[in-house]
Amino acid sequence: MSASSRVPVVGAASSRASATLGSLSLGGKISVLMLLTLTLVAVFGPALAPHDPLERVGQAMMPPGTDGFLFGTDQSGRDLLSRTLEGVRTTWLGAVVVLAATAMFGALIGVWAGSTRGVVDSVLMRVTDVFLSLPAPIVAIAVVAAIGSSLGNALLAIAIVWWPWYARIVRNEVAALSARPHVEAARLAGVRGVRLRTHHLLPGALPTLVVAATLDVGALILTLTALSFLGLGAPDPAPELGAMIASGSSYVLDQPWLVLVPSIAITFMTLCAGMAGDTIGGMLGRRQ
Amino acid sequence: MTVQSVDLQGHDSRSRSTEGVPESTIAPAVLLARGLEVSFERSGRRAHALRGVDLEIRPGEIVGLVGESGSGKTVLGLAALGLLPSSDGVRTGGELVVDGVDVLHATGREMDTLRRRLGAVFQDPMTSLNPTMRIGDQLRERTGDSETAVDLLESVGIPDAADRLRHFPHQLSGGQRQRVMIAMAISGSPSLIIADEPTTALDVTVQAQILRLLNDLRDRIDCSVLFITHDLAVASEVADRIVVAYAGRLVEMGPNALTEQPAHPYTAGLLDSRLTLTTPTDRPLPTIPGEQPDPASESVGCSFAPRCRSRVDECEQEPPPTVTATHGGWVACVRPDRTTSQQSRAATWTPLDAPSGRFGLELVDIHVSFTTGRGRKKRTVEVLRGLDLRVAPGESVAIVGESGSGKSTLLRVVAGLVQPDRGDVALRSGARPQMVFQDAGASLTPWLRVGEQVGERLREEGLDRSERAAKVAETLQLVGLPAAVTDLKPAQLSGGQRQRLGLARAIVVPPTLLLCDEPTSALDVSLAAVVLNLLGEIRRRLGMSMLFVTHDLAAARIVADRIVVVKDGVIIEELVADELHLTQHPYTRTLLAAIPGTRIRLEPRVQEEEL
Amino acid sequence: MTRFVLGRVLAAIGVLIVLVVAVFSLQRVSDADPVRADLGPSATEEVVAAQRAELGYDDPIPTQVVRYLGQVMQGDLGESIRTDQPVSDDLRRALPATLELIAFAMSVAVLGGVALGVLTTKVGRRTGSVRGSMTAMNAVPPFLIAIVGVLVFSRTLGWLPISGRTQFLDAPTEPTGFMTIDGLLAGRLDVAWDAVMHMIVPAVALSIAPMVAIARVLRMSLLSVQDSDYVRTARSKGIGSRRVLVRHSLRNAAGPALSLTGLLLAGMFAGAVVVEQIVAWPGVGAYLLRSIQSSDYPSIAGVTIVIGLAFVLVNAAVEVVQRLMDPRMSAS
Repeated sequence: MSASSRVPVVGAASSRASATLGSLSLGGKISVLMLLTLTLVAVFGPALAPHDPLERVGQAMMPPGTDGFLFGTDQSGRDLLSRTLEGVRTTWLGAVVVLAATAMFGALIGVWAGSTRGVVDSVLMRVTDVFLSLPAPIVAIAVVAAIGSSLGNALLAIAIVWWPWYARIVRNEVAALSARPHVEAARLAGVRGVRLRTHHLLPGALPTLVVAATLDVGALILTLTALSFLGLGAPDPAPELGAMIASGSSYVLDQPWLVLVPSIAITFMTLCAGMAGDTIGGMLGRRQ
Repeated sequence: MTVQSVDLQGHDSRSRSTEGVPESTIAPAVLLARGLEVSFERSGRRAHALRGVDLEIRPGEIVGLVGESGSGKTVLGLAALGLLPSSDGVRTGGELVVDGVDVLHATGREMDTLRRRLGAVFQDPMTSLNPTMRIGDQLRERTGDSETAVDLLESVGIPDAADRLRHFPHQLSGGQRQRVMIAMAISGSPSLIIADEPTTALDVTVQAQILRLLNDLRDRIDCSVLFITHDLAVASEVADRIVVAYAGRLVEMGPNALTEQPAHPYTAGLLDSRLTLTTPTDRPLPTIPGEQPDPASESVGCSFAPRCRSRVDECEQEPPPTVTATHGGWVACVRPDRTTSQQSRAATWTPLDAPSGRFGLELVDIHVSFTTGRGRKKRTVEVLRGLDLRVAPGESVAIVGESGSGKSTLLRVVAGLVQPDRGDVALRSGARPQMVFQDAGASLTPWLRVGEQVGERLREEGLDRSERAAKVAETLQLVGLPAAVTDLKPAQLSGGQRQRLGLARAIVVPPTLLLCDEPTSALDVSLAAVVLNLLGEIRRRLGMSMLFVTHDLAAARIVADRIVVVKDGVIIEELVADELHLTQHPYTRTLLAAIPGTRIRLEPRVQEEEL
Repeated sequence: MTRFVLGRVLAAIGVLIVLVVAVFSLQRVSDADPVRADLGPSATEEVVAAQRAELGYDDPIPTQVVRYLGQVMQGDLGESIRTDQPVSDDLRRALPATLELIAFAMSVAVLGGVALGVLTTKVGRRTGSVRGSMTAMNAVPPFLIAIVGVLVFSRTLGWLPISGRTQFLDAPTEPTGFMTIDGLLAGRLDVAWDAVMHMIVPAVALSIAPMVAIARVLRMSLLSVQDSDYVRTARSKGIGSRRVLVRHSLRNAAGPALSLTGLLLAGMFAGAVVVEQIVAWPGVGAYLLRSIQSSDYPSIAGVTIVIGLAFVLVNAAVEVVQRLMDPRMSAS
């Protein structure tokens, strides 16, 4: 019986070390930086805002740069910078919370359906099929219009239509994994029930889920924007980016900053999320 | 980086090796490689697939290129076709001229034109044809018109050829798909066909038919064939000349008779590790120690030296010279033809007490069927049709059958993974049967640490953490793995190590019955021997019965006390392993006859030593 | 095959029924009292109550649901509280504009996406910059593109019209409601051309994100297909790389991109709502906005149902096409 005393490691070191920041590409480093900035702005920005976002503090419709208003003022004389900072917080934190909640809920449902199969799977998949057959933003609009406009309701409506997508993704991954030999082997080793799912199935579905979720943040932000644009978020004068775009849209030709500022803020958030998603996807892709 | 030394002796050995080669030696070579080097970038390091290869293929000859994984044989075939991936940091060096075209520097269009004069047959017929295109369309891409396509199909032995054109690949069997591939390859009378393991994925009887077909075709259309395989016996069935590759270099070349007179220690080791019908079953198989070298390493001396039993200091200091071998070809070795038999003169197994006592496993009238499709297309396939089997404690039984025979399903019934529709499964009480899988890598959860997976079954035994860790370490040692692997993930281990891991996990709580699902089919010959020896040793040490599923009768004979032959869901014969060659049953005889290499003389060389 | 199509149609109908019931329930949940809104604030309680009974609002819920379903299936989506017109009439005016815009945008997205996907595949797999620039393009919301487009191309450069759908007061609106098609059918090339000019900014704005998504998915499937054994076989036959690409790679890689196209439609509707405002496009978006502002729930319900229907139909069609393309399913 021959044994080699050394352990030839196949491929480069893929231990935890490779996951550290040092190994990220340039794009990866930039995206981490952007994400950090965004989070700081979202959390601390409004505290640093120069003015009260709801108060009229200057002349109406002043272009950016006049009188110390970095982004100018809106049609009611409110400081656009302060309003934007507040809006970014609402949108970003709201999006992250909804995403995390729906991803987790969807993952639980997905793991359950994918590993149990049979009736449970069929029922759950029919339900998600129905949700997925309908255009999510439109349904969200209908829901909020019915239950009343508020930020909370808008987030709730989005969450309701958003989770089936993740449930389907996780369910498909788990179902595919269930057929693989390592699950059979685990079963033979006596692993059952919860442990089988948490240790031998779920971790395999996580990378796909995480990538899908992070790439989805953009769509979520846009849906939230669309809702507040239609007046389905917090009511005026609340500083929501979508509502700001709505009220400013009539002035797009002559006072374009009213719509440009919130739009660029949204772009920045979506860009951050997208780049973070790509980086995570790249990291996870390399691991496997 | 070492380069194969080709000097004046190179010329000599080439002219020598014309023995046994057809007359047409005047025409230019169909394939000419000089100092061919190919390397890839993998995980930031440079992996050398070919390290200076010289090869010449003349018109009308079949050259068998034999090597295990990591030998570079597939890369050579791909390079000749110009199909090396263009990314992945591929770098080439040296010279490779195929049918007059400098393949390493040709443009895309030149390569396309060249490929129409070549033919290619690849390993896996299941995936090598476009699943969404009809066979006829795929053939016509190569032949141009339907008539030729029909003729080709008929010439490779596919009945109802005209109808077949309209079929899709999934409507054909594996053997038929491979025939289609061959038909495409031979269309247009190519000068060279490159066949990369064309029969490895096929049943042994189908393999025999395909090999006959290839021989036949070569005679009819007079093309050359580069036949790439890991199996020396298969190569000897078709090749005029055999070339042996190891770790990116060619180590030996000679006529077909090379297999009786290997000059290089590696070739000798391969031959010794082969399972034949006369390999002694009362002792461990001869094996080649150690493992394949790391493709990224740059060694100065002979790549095989670390594993070679005949090595001397010289071997590791300088590249080995190329000298003429006794069989007329050449060999790259300092001490050729002096291969002390690489067989370890292992002691025989201690004989076991005859199996006694109550049954270990009993299966009575097992029926299993699967339904596929839905609604109108529902079909029920009966996989096992009334099977009875008994295994005594400590006995080792091999279940032999081709694909579709139901052997794997039988194993899963015993394991409890599949419930039979009818029939009883009675197991002697004790630890639940455990299984060693064919693809060890796939049977391990990729993201869990090795130690955790091996120790999974210990959780039920009520041991605390340190006790579990100790038991895991002990088991790892038993299978020949260092304790350091505990913290690694499966992907960080080599194929051989993963196979040992699969075994470790199965025996950490020793079951009374060990189930093996073709554990060696996917492994290199040298590695398969190691695993079989390991299985033999562990089984005896722990006193387990064993149920070993395989399609390879020779392996079955080595491993088992009793052989059970299965076909279409029923047992057609049960034999004592030692009496396998005496069987009269027609099906078993077909399986026996289909084993390649029955032309190789079968005296084990250890007997010569003893004389 | 017929069985499959039938199954899909039934599933679609089932989904739509669920949608209608859901919309109905939401209507109940909302505070809107359609009868009160109809009669005005000055009507007395008795009159309102009487009218409720007469119109059937006091019947048991299941009865109301079924009645509503029946009405919807006949095309009766109720009456808009705001316009006092049947919702279906309102939509007949507003919907074609949005549909035309979305159809145009989706075509641009698909063509551009396929081209982009194929081109970026040739570049190779390792380029992070490809991924990066696609992510960047994806991040810009459609309304920002529309804003910039209007500011640059319309206001500053004057190449494209600033807003609206057409400059012609007598543009034909029959028979399809698609101004480009109607213009051509009526022989008015100037109208058709003008319609296209007006659509460029909003359609391009809507098409960018889907285009990138399609390109990305297509690229991923192409890369994985190109590694497959049968593509290797195809290349070994010496038939030429373009042929390999089209007949082998694309054919097998198109699946995921195709299903994605159906799903992208939902996002496009959401985007259209905002973009229409920016360029003053007289479509469903504007209608929806006004309906929401006046709590006109019947209109909101109507829009939801109609867009839902369009979405379900398109996705069912996509699934049928996919099925046709994969012979493993339809043959034998």
